[in-house]
Amino acid sequence: MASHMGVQKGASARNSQVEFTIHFVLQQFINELQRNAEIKDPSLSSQKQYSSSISSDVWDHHISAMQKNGRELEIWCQTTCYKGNKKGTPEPNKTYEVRETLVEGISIREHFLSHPNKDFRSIHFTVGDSRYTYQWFMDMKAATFDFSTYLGSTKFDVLESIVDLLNSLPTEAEKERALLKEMKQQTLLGKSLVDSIETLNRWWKSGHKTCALADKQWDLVKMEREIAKKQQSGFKIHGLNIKGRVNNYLFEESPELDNLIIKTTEKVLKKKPFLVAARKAVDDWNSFCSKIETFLKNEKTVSKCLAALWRSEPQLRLVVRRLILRIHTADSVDYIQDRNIKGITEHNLYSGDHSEKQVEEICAQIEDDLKRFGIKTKLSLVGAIKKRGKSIINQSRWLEAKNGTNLKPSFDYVQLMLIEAGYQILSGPEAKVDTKGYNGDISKANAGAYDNLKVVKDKGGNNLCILKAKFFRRPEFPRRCKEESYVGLTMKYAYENEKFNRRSTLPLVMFVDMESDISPPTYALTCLRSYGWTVIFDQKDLLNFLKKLSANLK
Amino acid sequence: MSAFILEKIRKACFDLCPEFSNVLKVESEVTASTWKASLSSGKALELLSLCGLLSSCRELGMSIELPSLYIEQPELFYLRNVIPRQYVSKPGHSHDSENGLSLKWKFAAALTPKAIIRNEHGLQYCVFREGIATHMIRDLVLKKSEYLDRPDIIVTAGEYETNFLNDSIIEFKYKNKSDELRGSLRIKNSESLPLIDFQGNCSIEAKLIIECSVDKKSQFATGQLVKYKKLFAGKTNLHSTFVNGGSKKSLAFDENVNINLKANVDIIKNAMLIGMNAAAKSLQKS
Repeated sequence: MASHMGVQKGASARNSQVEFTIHFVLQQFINELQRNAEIKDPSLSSQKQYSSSISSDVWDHHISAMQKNGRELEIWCQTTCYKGNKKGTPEPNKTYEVRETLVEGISIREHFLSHPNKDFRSIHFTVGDSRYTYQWFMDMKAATFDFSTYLGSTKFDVLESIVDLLNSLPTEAEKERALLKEMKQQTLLGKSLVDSIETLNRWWKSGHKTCALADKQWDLVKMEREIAKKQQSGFKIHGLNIKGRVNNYLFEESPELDNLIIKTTEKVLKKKPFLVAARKAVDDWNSFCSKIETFLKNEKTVSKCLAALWRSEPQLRLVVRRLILRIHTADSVDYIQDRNIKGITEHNLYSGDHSEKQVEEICAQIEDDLKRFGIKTKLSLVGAIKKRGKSIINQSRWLEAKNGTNLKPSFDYVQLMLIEAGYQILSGPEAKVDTKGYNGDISKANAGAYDNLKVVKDKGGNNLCILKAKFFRRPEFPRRCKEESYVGLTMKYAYENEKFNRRSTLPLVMFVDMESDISPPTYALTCLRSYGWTVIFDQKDLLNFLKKLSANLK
Repeated sequence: MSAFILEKIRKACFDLCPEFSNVLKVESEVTASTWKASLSSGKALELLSLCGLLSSCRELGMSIELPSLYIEQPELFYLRNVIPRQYVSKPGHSHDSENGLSLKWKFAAALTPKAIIRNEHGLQYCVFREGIATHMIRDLVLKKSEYLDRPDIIVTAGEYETNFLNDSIIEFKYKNKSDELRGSLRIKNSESLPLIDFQGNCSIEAKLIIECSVDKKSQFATGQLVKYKKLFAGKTNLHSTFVNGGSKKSLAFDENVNINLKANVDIIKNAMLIGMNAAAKSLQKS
């Protein structure tokens, strides 16, 4: 099936080689510390597990050693890769990974602060083009890790250099020799490695101080954890599987008695006209193909066919653009941001009105893809669409209903439910509630306010809580909890005059939707609660909670 | 229907290899993909073929042995002989030991044969399932090429050893007469093989390949055998057996063994014993 999976497999391979490179840098660093008698008996390991009541994280690297002052030392390290793109613009999807990393950096402070007879430090490595990251990420990494450092420059693609050098070398011994050679020969990669090692050495020599802000952020989590313990909510933990039920109803796999599911599905279809158009196409595929053939009857070449299809009327283009982007392959399809066409993004790819130049560029890329797979004539293009198009569109329907970035059936359902119960649902600005995070206070750069949230207002006009509802897949439960934990903590507190203060008294409510047979990991839920959320799974529990909040305000 | 056939296959395995009963009776998340999943996955038929081969070898006077790793941890027997790799950008920041088995033991299971056969001449053979990690590593280092094909059952001459240097490094060694390969792996989740070092350049002598299918198309099985003969080309003849739960045959194999999975346990067992006779005989020679 044509998907982005191949790109992700490439990312995994790249990440392995980067992990080795950082391992190499750290090894050189500790060798230098040992030579200078700063430490002895060091050990360096990879994929070190850190577990606590709110964490179960794997840290990329870990150093333990004895310092010359007789105190034990532990250094925990994480690495983030930024692949970069030709436009040099930040990648919005990276936000989620950075939030996870920042929560890991905060949560581990508990371990650091609970052993006063040992010294601990955390280091974050960023490898890749730093223009691919938002400026506030860079500031927050520096405020959350004891040391934040970068490998690479804008002069060359460091990730590509690492992969090109190391991919063909099967053993660590050969990889190490290759990296040493790069350093000796002062190649661009070699110089980056030397810089990285020297930066670490300079940090060590200048006192390798701990990050006070990281500890202060941990203090906030400690406070929230105590508050959460005292609340003793007694909320039921079970999955309503709203998202699953909406998908089943959408694909008519099962009947639905819950009127709210039906209403939510209607909302999804309105937000995703592709699902309606695709359904029409697959229901009568022969007729759809005849329509395409008629549409293309005056076009002679593949390139003219592609341009005509790209420019087709809005309903048709939703289906045909997906078709021509995928028709050539059963394997990997590039993400649109990797096609590097200015102005074409994942948000306007299938529906947008593009300029002549953009249409020319995207169609030229598609034509190249088609040629590589033997589709060189109008006849073979139309033949491929007839033969494989229906299954491609069906796969797209299924994928996009399940994973669409703007589809939020769980959140839609909860909002509809609350409206029926007499509540008002407003955005932050409408309710005059501030939803920005303290990351925007600490960083000079604009971090923006969190916008995927609503404020619930009761009949008396009182703002009761800030609400989010989200579907959590079992394999990604811990990651999602970490991402949302960062949102919670940063929203609850402001940072001013070098102090954290509670920003507002509105409770944060996370309504968790999940499959009905899941038991979420306890540490993940405790993490969410410790970072400021009240976690609710059940409709009645949510309604009762809101009733209590309302009553308390009277 | 599938569950009933799986139970019969399991019973046949017990009867063919009572010395492997601890492995055959263990129940866990790992074994579920053999005994509780669909018959069409083919795993149960592979295990039956393995037990059939071992039983036939015993009938011909050879000794069979279960490596001590599987006596101590029988669930590990069900893992493939392939080094676990982290494919696709898995949420790597959350530790999740799948199936309740730690990565360290998964590495050990990947490198350890499922059974050891010794013939009357004192020659030792090792049986691997769904891959042979040491051979794959050898090819990656010496031929700079990584193959993804995994023979259902493959038997090679020689001895295989593993040793944990510590919790994060496992050493491995292959020995056949005066030939030797050795190396060490870092125990971690990685897309690329976490190979620390490797020495040696001898080949690994494959003696027997068994391909199993609930109802695979014969052209597919033939195609796979062609690939395997290239991958495992050596000085000795490679004997090949195609075990099929349907009626398909492939003339490329030295013999075809068709098993009627709807028959009773005794018929299945005997068909397997007879069917594996020629394969067992190929291991009898000096």
